[in-house]
Amino acid sequence: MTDKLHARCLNCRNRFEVKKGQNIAECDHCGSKWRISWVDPEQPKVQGPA
Amino acid sequence: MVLKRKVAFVDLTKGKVVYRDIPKELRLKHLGGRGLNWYYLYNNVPPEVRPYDPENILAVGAGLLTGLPAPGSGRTNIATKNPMTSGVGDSNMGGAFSPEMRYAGFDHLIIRGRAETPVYLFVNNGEVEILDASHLWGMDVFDTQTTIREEHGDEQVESLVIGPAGENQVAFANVMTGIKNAGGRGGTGAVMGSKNLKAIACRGTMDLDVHDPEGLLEYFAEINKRAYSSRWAKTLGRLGTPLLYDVSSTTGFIGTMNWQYNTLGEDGKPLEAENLTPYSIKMVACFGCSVHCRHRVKIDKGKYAGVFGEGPEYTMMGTFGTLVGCNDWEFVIKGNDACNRWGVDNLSLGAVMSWAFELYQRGYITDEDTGGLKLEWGDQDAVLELARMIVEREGIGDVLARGFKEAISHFGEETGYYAIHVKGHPNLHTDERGIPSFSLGIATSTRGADHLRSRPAIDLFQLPEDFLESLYGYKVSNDFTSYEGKGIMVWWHELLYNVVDSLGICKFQTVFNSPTSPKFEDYSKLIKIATGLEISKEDLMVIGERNYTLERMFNVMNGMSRKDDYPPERYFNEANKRGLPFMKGRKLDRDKYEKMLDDYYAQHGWDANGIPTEDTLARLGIEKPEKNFPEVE
Repeated sequence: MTDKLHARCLNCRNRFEVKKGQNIAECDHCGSKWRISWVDPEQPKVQGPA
Repeated sequence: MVLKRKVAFVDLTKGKVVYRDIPKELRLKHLGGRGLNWYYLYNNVPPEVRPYDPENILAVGAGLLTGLPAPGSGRTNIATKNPMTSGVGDSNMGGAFSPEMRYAGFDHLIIRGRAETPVYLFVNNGEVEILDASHLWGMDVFDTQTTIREEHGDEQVESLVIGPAGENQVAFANVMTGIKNAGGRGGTGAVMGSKNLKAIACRGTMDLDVHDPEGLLEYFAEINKRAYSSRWAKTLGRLGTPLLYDVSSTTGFIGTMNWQYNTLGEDGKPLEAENLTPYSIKMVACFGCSVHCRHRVKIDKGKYAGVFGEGPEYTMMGTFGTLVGCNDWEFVIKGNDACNRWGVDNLSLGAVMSWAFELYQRGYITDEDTGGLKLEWGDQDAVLELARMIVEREGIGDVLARGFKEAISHFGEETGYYAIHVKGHPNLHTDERGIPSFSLGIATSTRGADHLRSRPAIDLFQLPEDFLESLYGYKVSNDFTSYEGKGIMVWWHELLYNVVDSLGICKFQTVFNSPTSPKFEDYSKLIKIATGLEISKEDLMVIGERNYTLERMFNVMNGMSRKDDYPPERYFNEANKRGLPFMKGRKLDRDKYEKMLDDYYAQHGWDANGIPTEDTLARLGIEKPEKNFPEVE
């Protein structure tokens, strides 16, 4: 399993990298910061703005 | 085999039932479920019949693949003339009713007339009995089902029932089954109540013979894995439909305080999907589904301690959340339980209640109208009390229970501006004004404002345009704020969702929120293996178009046309006040909307007024209505 996981940015709609277990992540396309929740250990999801 | 299931024509006035085979040519033209239901409605309910007249029909249909190994194959479709729009009234529900109806020998029940006293139908191994339901009248949704099971001494009896809302003919009453499966939208519960029909109970042990059983199991395993392994399905199985809240609230397309705003913003954080988890005992599923998208919830302490139920779905987060300025999960769970027991469509209830709150805010409704109830945003007790008054048709609730059209006449035409509906049908709490494809979808939906007839939810994903072209067969923009190609997108999803509803499959397991989920070509293969019928992908698209056009013609016969295909006026006049930067300030452009509507009509082969042309009707084999409800003596 890779540690490179991705979530979709709600601002620019691109997928950005989220590290395993990370609670807050920044979109590397538009710089938006998001709170992250985990559907399962391999699937991050944006919960809301950080 | 599968195709041997029958249709029962039930005349409640005469207390008689007649059984007929379903001709193969009807299957090839309409499949089953929603498609065949509307074939019977189109032919047997002329415009002069009003929704609560005994001559109106309530049609209950199982899909062609219902009860078989197919993704989410437990769906039931219910059709009638809509008390809110006088056009298409159509509900689609999960649970396990339709599989049981098929095991009892029937694919469709076509019900007309009105019983003198309350009755219920018992459908069992090839027979339909009409039984007394006087003792059930007045019971809520849960007690009705429990009592029927006890009386038949069989825990496997599945029932469609109405609660107090249906008995009282609240225009947006549901037909219900199980704890929360709702045949919502379209007023089907109100029509059922008008017929003095309290329930339809089914129990069957007749085998459903499959054309190629081994092939079906093998293909189902493959297709099910694809449906279940999508990101969408995994998230749905973890958080349920409330997962939609996080994206809609953050982006700013969630109706708030009757669509005056498009998100609660920071104040809405308590309602995030993840915050429902502490109340969730487990996730449960409908018949034939491996996604398990429904929470079973319980509140242990506090004001609403002891409340137990299933859901709440995303829709309920508007009704008892954003639409009325509340942000408390426990209140949403409490409201969910009340709606499920009453058997009322929470989406419509939310739109109607939040409209009343805004009218109170603006002074169109006063304490005198409400009997002293103060409709102030965020007041949970006021929200719940107004809901009760609507269901029990008490005071102002009696006016609101008639639906938007009559209520607007009562309070004054000016108040209609604040009513968020299309064709008289209340909207889900989505705020579509920043998303043209969603706006077109709610505006042209045959049952009035609705998100489940054509919403291209994948429009939000900014998928590559070459992928979209391969999916839709045409070039469309992947920018969800654009109007380009969105008429085609809506058309394609109308066809797909109609086919899915006619097969008896769940929309959450097709191309709704996941682009990789099963679609036309997969269903073509499933149909062949299950029934032996050869229906290609292209054939299925034509069937979807035929069925949708039949519904359109039902609306046209009842006076609808282009004038009825517009989203709420507020969407054109007031820009979004909140949300992410690209959503803030956005509203619908009238000229671009008109062009998008033209494109949509052209794609369907309808004229500039939205009427299907003679050529289109001929191409689809749609003839003039001809009554075919058998004479019942």
